[in-house]
Amino acid sequence: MVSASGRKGILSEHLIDVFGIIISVFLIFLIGISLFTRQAESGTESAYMSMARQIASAVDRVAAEAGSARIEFTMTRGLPVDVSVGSRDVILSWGGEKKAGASFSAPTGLEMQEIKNPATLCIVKSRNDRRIVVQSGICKCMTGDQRCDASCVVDGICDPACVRGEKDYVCLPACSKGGDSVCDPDCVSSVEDWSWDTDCALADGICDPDSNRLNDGVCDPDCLMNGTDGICDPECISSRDANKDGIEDVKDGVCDLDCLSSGSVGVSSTSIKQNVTCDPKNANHWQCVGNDLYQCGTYFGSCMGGCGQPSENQTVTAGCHVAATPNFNSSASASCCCRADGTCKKDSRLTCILGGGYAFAEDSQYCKGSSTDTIKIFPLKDGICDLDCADRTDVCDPDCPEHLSQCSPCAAEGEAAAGKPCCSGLTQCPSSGLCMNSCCGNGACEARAQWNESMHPKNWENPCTCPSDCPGTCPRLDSCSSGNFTSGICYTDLMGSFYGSKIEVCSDAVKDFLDRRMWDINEVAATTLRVGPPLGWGFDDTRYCGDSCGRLQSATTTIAANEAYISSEPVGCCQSMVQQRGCACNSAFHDETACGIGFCGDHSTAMYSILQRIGIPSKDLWVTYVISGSECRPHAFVIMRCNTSLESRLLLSECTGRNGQWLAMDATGHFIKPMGEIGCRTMCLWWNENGFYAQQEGRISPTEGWAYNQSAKCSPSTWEGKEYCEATDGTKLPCQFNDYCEKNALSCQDFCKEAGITCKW
Amino acid sequence: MQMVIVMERNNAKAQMSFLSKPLMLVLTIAVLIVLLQTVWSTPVKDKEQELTLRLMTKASDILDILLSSEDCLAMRTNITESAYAYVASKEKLDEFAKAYASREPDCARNFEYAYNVVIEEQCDDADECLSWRFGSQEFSPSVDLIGKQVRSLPVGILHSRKDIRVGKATITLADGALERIAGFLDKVCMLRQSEQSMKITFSEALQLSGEKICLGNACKPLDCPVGEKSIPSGSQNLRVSYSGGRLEVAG
Repeated sequence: MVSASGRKGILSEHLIDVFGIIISVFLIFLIGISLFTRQAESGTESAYMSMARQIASAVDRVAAEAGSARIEFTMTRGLPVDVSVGSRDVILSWGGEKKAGASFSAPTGLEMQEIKNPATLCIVKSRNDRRIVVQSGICKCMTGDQRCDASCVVDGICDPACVRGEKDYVCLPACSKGGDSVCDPDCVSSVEDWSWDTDCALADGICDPDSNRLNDGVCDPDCLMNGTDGICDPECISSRDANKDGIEDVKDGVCDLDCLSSGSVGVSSTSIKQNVTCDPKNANHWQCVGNDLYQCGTYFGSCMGGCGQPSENQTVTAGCHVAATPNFNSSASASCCCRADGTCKKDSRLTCILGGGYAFAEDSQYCKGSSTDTIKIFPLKDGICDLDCADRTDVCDPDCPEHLSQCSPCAAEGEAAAGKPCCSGLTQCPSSGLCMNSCCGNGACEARAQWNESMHPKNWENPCTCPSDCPGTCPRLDSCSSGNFTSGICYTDLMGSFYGSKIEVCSDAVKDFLDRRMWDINEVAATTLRVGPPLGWGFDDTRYCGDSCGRLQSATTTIAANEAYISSEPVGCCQSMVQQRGCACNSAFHDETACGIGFCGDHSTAMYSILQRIGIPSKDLWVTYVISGSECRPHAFVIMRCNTSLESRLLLSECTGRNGQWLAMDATGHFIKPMGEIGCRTMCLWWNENGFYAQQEGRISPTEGWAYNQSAKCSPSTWEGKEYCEATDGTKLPCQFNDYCEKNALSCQDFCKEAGITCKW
Repeated sequence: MQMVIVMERNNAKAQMSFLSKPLMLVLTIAVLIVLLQTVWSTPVKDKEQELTLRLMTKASDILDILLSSEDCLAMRTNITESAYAYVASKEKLDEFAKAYASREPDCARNFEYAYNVVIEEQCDDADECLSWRFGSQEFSPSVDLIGKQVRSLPVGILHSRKDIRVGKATITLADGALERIAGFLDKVCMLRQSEQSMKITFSEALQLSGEKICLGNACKPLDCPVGEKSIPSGSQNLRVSYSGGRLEVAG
């Protein structure tokens, strides 16, 4: 039996269970709803985000096409959305303020493109202006409707709907027609888009670069007043000379330099856009287009005296080779650089740039010193002298006659040099300062032209090179005579050897050398012995290496090479000792004109030839050598006795107060010293054109003679104070004459033996 | 007797209920946990895969643009006025390597990511092979790096008309706190925007100085100068304004 309270308890428990179940079901329902709602929202957001990323990716893909391209993008169905495409991102908007965005990497070139609820997007890239346009609808190019289809860019078709007076971001070059009074504002831009409509030539503040160099009959006023925007509008130039007198009508304050590298007036855009090879060394690539200009493609240069192209190392006789606008920058692998004297040199390291009408290298030793020339700008010859350009010293307008002379990088014949170098082949005459082919014959007896390294080539005009202008002022000097001993000396490991036909007293080279120095021994010394190259003589250290005797030079070769030597142009020459760069043995190669400027044996031979020809008596003039220095190098001299009875031109300044004394003229070391001031205990025998001293004045008996004049009184000290000399084979020889004598005297004594005499030291 | 039996049955029921209810509760909780874990773990995996895919796609897209757009590296010939994709001239590569030594070129720039590109010639003698590099030098430190992807494409390198060499272009694209913050600042700078904000979390202190932003030891140049500022790590709401060619940043 169940009590009433027991029934109540059972009922209560059941009620609680029922309520519990109801609450649980309700809670589960709520949680489920909440979960599914959140999932749905998240899914929707993900779908929009995914769509935004797909659109961004599509923009990137169309941008990644090399040419014009289009991509059609179908929007996800059931997801209504508004699309905004910015310059770098796409934003989708839906349901009020909800947004999803994604960025892309290619710039669209546009600020914001808004599209309301599109079903399809057409994404078009125009290669012309590099814009990316996004439009609603499928990609099609229909010209009959009133809608501007960006797709027509890809098809190259003109959609008339795009040519309206309002911005639609679509510029179709196919629609750009001048003279229809319609200007598509989308085609007017300050960037090149290959579209130019003359109807857009308005004062809108934009000088369209697509109008550059076009002869379209219209001057864009925005291009007119800007002389340095790089855009040449030929009509703007011609419009400045309404009265056709070749001079700008009104000085407008603008020196228009934009036509610098453009075609001349009359060159069409088609020809300008052709690829033209401009090889500075190829004359066929360059064409004269005026008295002072030549042209290759878009490059223009100055041609002084005509158009000519030199070959490598060739002296230009007519005109320059590459003189170009500042834009010219020859990047040819082998450029040719020309110097102010007209010689050109091929150098693969060079990049030639404009320098006052010549091409110079910026960092080349070859052109060093010339690259600092003031750069002149040579505008195109357009037939109109720009008055504002005429005022500028850095601009050479070829249409302004007064500019022709002042703009020349060099002074022409008959022109005063006035700080400029004379043009190629001309000489600045000392008396007048004018640049002439030759100063000889101008009636003025010129003093010796003061020449230095900046004046190349070495020009000489003086009384002795121009007797017609200087009657009676040059001494008679043609009494050339020489003896039969013509050998020069060379050495192999301290052992000297004589080789014949080296002394050349009567050669033309000696005469030319002396003509240029007015047969004055002090001029000889000043320009040969007391200075280094190029005025003084230089020598090639490597000539001591290996077979030095095989490279022994004649006096003519040594003199001519030194006369032609320019230190900044060691053409074909191994780095000489003068430049302190050293050179491996046997790496030098011989060149008759520039390299092989001599070693001391060559110098002594040449110096003897010169001094004998100038008039120093043979009995006072000898050649010899000593062994000197720690490496036991032979050191050659010309020994000369001072004779104050000779005329003044034959008296060295060092002879003052030293009548009868002997001087050592060291052609290698570039000094002149009394014999008493140099060590000569290792001196070999003397010789001259007539043979050995021991056979002449030094003869003691029929079989014996002094090796050198005992009055020479050379210093008893050892050379340079060294205690010993080291032979090239590593043998250390004491520098005491007696100790060394055995070896040295062996070769020197051998010479005497061959001559049938015993020499005595 | 019957009453005793009924009472014993009730006692047994009560004892069973006492045992089964906690058991059912535990089972229910366990089922719920499994259910929730399944619900939550699926999106996390999806997000990781999506991130990888997104970075791969971006890396490919950017490399494509770099090699195919004539505004970037694609070779343009004046003969036909056309452009050649995947052929880059040596001069252009030299120019890019010099101009974009530490930042991404404008022709292919994404303000959410940073990248660098290495273009190497492929030749037998490694000593004679040339290589170029441009783009970001550093990426976010690992703790703040969300993801990184490397993609490669073949490319022709034009030395002269008759000398086109085979090369390989490799892009390394990174997404991280430094990239996002620097991109955000550069975008505000480019668009000259005012009062822009960004919520972001980073684990290392952020240093702004001159035209540079550093997160930990990794730095990235900025397009606009900023004042000297240090922002502590953690979740931050960065507020940025462009004014007079400079950016004002508040953490």
